[in-house]
Amino acid sequence: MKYVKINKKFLYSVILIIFFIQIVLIGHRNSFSFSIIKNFYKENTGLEEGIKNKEIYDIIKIIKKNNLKDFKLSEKLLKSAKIKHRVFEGAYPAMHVKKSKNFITKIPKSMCEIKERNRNIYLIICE
Amino acid sequence: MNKFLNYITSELLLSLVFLNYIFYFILDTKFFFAYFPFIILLVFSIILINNVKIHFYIVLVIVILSFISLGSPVADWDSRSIWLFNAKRIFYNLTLKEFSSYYGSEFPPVDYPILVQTLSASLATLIGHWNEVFPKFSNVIMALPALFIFTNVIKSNLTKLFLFILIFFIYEKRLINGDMDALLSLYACASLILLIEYSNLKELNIKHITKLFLYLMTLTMIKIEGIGILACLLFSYIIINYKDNFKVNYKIVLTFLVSLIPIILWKFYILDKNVVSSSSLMISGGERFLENLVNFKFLIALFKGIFLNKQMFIAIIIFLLSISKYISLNKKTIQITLNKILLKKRLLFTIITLSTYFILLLLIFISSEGSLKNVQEIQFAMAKTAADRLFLPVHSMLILCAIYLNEEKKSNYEDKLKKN
Repeated sequence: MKYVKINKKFLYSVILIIFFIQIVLIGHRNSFSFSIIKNFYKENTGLEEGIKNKEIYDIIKIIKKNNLKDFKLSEKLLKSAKIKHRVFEGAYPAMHVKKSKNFITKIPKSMCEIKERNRNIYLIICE
Repeated sequence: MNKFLNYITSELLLSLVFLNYIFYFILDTKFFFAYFPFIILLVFSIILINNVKIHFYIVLVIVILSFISLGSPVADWDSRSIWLFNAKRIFYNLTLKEFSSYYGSEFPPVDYPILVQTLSASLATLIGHWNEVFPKFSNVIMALPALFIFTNVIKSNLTKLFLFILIFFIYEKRLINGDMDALLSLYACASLILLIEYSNLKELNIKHITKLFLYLMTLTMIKIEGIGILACLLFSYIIINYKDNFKVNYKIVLTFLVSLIPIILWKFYILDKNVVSSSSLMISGGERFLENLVNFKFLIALFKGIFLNKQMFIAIIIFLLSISKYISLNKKTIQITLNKILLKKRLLFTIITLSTYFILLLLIFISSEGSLKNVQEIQFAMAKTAADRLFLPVHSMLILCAIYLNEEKKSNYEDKLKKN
């Protein structure tokens, strides 16, 4: 049986390339971006990239922009486990309170005042 | 200066992380959060600089992990909703009592240990506000001491390659995304390596005992599964030494017990606050055990979850390739011969630990599936979604076995050369 000797340099290069591709893949799967690394010490960096879902990000953005201490999500929004958990942890320290007058919904109630609109998400104040 | 630098070790880093937690837990104040992260980051950097020449490959791994970690947000479910949310609540709440009385959602389980989370919260304190990037750097800081323990056993380039495969192909992003499973696996291996090393020593000094305590304590304080791993380590230690004329070192057993104190105190504190333990909700009284055991569909799903994934495949392949050198088959007599190296203490130790932990996890999976804590929309949610990550300590110990097997070959070869 004849054996072919593999050049050591070639072998090391192949291993190095495989690892390089894998590291790039890990970065990609972790949503790596150079704009984040430049701002890693700034407030709220990575919030939009981490949440990914535009609707959830819009809700959190409205809560943070208005410095809300508490809020209430509409039943439709609360039904989705993903929206519920992502908003609860993303908006913290603002808390979801059932009796809050800061109502966040997709369909605004006619008798309440619309305080802000972010695409299809509304913050309405129901006194 | 050199003498001073000698004191800046991984153990000092772990001690600082532990002190950061213990001050918060006992004194219920975040006053030290402003100072500890600065000292921790300083010690972390000095350790890296000190080891650039001696252990370049570990420094390289840490630099790559740091780069990706600081350039990526927290995106995964468990990291965001459990681990970093706990850290965020530590950061925003004034007291520990406020932290443990969260009522907003069934997430996150507040009874989970918070050693790494206090570090994350103090990193956020250092920059003055919360963001989705810097607090999770705590994972990289915590990975450093465990990785340095691997240098005690890794000598050849091949075993260095195995470590790289473990970190970049098996753990992938789990070491940097804020999740605790990869960190737990690293500490499981580090504790195992230390225990094997120390069980061979005739006399243990205070330095050895402190080091073992720090690693075992961290193991249990990262994640509750750490207690299971610790129990498996103790079991293996007793079994191995029972075989060896029962040479159990009482100092080691005592260290095991003392290292459980922080997690026991934490659990008592949580019980005192009337928080129901999430693990007790999952496992319940074991009434689902028999039901699941006879459910063929579940067993298939569990088998798929455990064995049919990339991590297990890579770990088994590397393990089999390494062990195959020590097993020979005589084709004429059809007799299998095992090399005596396979019966060496450190190999047996690792194999017993990984087998017992594997069985323990299997029992937990069978007992837990179908619990109300699991996601009900997905059938067999735990087996399908959690098996690959919860078995990471098993994958890591398989790679550790492969490292030991290859190092045995190298040391045997060197011994032969010396004799010649």
